[in-house]
Amino acid sequence: MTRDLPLEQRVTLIELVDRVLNKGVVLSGDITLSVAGVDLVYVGLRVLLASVSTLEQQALERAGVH
Amino acid sequence: LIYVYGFLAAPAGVPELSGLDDAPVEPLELAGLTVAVSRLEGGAPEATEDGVLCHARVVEELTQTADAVLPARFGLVFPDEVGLRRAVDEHAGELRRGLERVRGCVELGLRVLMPETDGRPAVTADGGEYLRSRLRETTERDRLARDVDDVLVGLARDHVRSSPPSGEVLLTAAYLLPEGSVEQFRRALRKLEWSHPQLDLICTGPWPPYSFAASPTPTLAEAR
Repeated sequence: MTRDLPLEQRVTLIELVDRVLNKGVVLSGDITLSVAGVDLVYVGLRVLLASVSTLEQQALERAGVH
Repeated sequence: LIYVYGFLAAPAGVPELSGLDDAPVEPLELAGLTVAVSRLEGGAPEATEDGVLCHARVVEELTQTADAVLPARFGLVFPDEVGLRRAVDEHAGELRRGLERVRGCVELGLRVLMPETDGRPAVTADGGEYLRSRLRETTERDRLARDVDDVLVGLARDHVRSSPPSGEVLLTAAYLLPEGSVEQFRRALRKLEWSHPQLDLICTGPWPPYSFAASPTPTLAEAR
């Protein structure tokens, strides 16, 4: 199934940011992050995540139309 | 400040790169490991989109030249080399084991989505019937997620489920695969798409093995 590129890019961006901020090595709590910055990134992520399935649906509908 | 991008099995070269704040990325040899770092003049970096993407780009470049890289989480900083050395010494065994685990491997991410079904009875219908119906639905969703996961886990060296199912998302998982197995994994995914047309399988990667880096403290999300 061919998906719209923008959706793929969005999902890829979510997955990337999730990995860089939440996964990866930390050594005994030496992570120091600007909390405000993280919260902003997360607000953006939630919006993106919420829209993934909606976008998916729209992509399918468009695929059906053409 | 010393900012860490990742840990490599020594001896490993680090390609010429500019990292956060345009500072060069340098290798530091510590405890038998190579640590890829930048020396930052200002304070700790903020988690902006540019910063996160820069970190990701440096880690990606490191994996192009080394066959074992453990990515650091964004924001891993130390006041000086002494502080970094102390932390690396303390975790050297764990880091070395982590590097062996991911050697020659990449990570693929998967989200399994299922659009909500329409035939759900209204809450105002018979309460018992409503609950039984929801239970059947949950069981069915678990079974579908397991169907997919079981096939893919069989192909992976390691795997991790990163968050519980919620809403339309049945499964969020990451699989650690030897680079030579990526094509086989993708073929298996295509088969699953055929056999489970009600599901959307969104696969991303290959990624550096972020999800398989040793991580002794809880993630930000878990700490919330």
